Amino acid sequence: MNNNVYIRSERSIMTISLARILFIMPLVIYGFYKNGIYLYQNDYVSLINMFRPLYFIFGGAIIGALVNIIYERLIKKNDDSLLTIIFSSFHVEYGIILGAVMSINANIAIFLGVLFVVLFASKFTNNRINTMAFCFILIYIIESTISSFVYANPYESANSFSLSFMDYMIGRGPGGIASTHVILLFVAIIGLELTNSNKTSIAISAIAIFTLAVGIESIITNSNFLDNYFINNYPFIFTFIATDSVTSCYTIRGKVVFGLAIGLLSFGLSLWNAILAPYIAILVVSLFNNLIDRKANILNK
Amino acid sequence: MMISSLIIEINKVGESMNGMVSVKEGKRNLISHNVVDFLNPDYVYIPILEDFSIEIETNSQVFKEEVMLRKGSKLVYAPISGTVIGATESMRVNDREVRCVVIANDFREKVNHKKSAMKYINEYVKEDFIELIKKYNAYEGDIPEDIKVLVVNGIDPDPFEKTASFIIDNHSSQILETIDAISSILKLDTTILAINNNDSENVINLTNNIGTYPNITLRLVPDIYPIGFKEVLVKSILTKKQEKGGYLYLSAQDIYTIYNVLKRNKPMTERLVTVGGNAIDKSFVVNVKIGTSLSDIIKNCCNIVNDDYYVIVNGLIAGKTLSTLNNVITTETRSIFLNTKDTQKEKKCINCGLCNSKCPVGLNPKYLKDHKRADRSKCIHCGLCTYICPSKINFKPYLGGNDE
Repeated sequence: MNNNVYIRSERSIMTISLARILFIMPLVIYGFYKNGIYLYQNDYVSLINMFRPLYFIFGGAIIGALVNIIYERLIKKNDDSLLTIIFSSFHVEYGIILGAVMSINANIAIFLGVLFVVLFASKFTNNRINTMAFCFILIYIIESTISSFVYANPYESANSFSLSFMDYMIGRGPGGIASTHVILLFVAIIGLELTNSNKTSIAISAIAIFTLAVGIESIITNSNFLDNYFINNYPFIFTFIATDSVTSCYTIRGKVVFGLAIGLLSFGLSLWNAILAPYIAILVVSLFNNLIDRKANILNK
Repeated sequence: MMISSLIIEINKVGESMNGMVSVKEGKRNLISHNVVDFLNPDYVYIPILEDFSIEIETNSQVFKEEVMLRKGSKLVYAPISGTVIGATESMRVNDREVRCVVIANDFREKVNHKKSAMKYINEYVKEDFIELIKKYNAYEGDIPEDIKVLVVNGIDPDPFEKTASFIIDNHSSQILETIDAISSILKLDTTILAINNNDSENVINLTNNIGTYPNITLRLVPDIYPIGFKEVLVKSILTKKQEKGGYLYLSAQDIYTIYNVLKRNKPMTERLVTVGGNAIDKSFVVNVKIGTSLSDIIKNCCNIVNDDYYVIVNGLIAGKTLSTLNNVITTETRSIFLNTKDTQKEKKCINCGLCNSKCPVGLNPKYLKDHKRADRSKCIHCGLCTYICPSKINFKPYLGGNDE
């Protein structure tokens, strides 16, 4: 009885999830414009396909919600309110983020099917691996086997561009459906930090070390830094996928080491496969999150 | 105003300190602006502390402020006048069974001698000052020879308490006079009175009056939890050098008690206590006799709106739950809450790290929960980790110290 709790903060998985979803929404709106409205206006896609970006984003959210409802209601026999059940884990957010990093050319049935299976399976894996990274890798492998996995939308495929720094900043570079706008991404990082809804130090340390590594590589190989750096939306992936709450480090020092490890490994792997690199890096490093937390704090004692 | 503006400092260190959160105003019950008096209980219960001898015989008359118990130079005084009707085993202090002397109130507040008031309390010499405050139990700790800093905590440790705030509000001139006197008697270099920056009435009140006391620094600290805890406050307002050099720490209640001791040789017989919680219709601050039973206060002062309540003392976040209402008000009782239990279901840890990043003493509650043998001695039991956890994990059972 003496350990009763009488008052708690309003912070919950739902409020954290909603904050993250809220800050991703401007990127989604821009993604809808870039990969939907703009393509329709220029006759690259039909009216129905104009909404394709939203099918991925909201399809992902619905799958996430559905998995939570099935698991909580049917398996755990949880009788909480529907809203509480939908946000009983981060699965809705996972669905939206995966929709945001998916290629507009991906097969939507494969995306939703794999997403459902992986999200549902993740309910039984005790949060051992980063669900989003694993899901993306699986979709990539399946898509690549069937056809090919390319980020460029029909407009980008039909034209050739020389993108400036500002082009990348305002999201005109190729990439995921809603993961290209760098300015909106930085606004999201600031917002998430202010609302305590993100492990920002992971994102910042990963972005910093990756920037440094790509910068050095660009100097050595005399290649275009901007293309190397922005083309596969690494900052977005570091911000939203590497920071997955349940599979990342949680101590102050651990988070920095975790981010550095992901940034460095992503760079190393990007020399082999630039699209898969950050996901594999996140998947691998997240396996050692507890170890990193422990060692990072022991070393600093 | 010129002088006071020079010595008011807004503490920005606190805002950037590791840990601490703002508890939203909406969660706090509005507290009645006036102090409620409950100074005439039928009985008061004086706990017979270990090794104390009883100085009054059963069925004899006792005067208010008369010595009831003694252990060497330590004395316990009667808070009311009346008849000693014996000892009882049925009462508790902080939920521990303690034998108590029972005094039946004659409602006359008789004292057996008139004490003249000291005109200037800063005229005491250090030795007399220390002897007096020890004699009247105004301060339990030792006062080292070489201290140079005095920290007065005018902040309520729990965000739902208003006890310290009311003490300062009702006795601001006495508080300032006493702090100034202590500073002068002990020849201190630095004297800090810390209050919350949103405690607007006290900020205005003290700002207007502090000009008379140029050696007191009024420190406004942000209204974040748990800034009112000694360890956290001291860390946020003192430099490391000041902290290491030794300091005297007193609460607003301590200061007011010392004032009464220095001014009139009057021991502490009553105190302000915040009464709140969601099981009563409104929160208030009550002035009660030391030794009053909680059941008397609740029966006479509270309008219960929800019977499914628990009684918690000294804070809704970090307080102790009592198993019975047969507990008595002691000099340490700051607040009583009648509150329902939070019934939100505990979920699996999401590894967010908030418990770790917000801990004011830098502990890792998640690690302590999983490792029984880990060192948790630094824990100040503020309950912030449990309060902040989005998975609603209750860390209290894993941090020790609550069931003492």
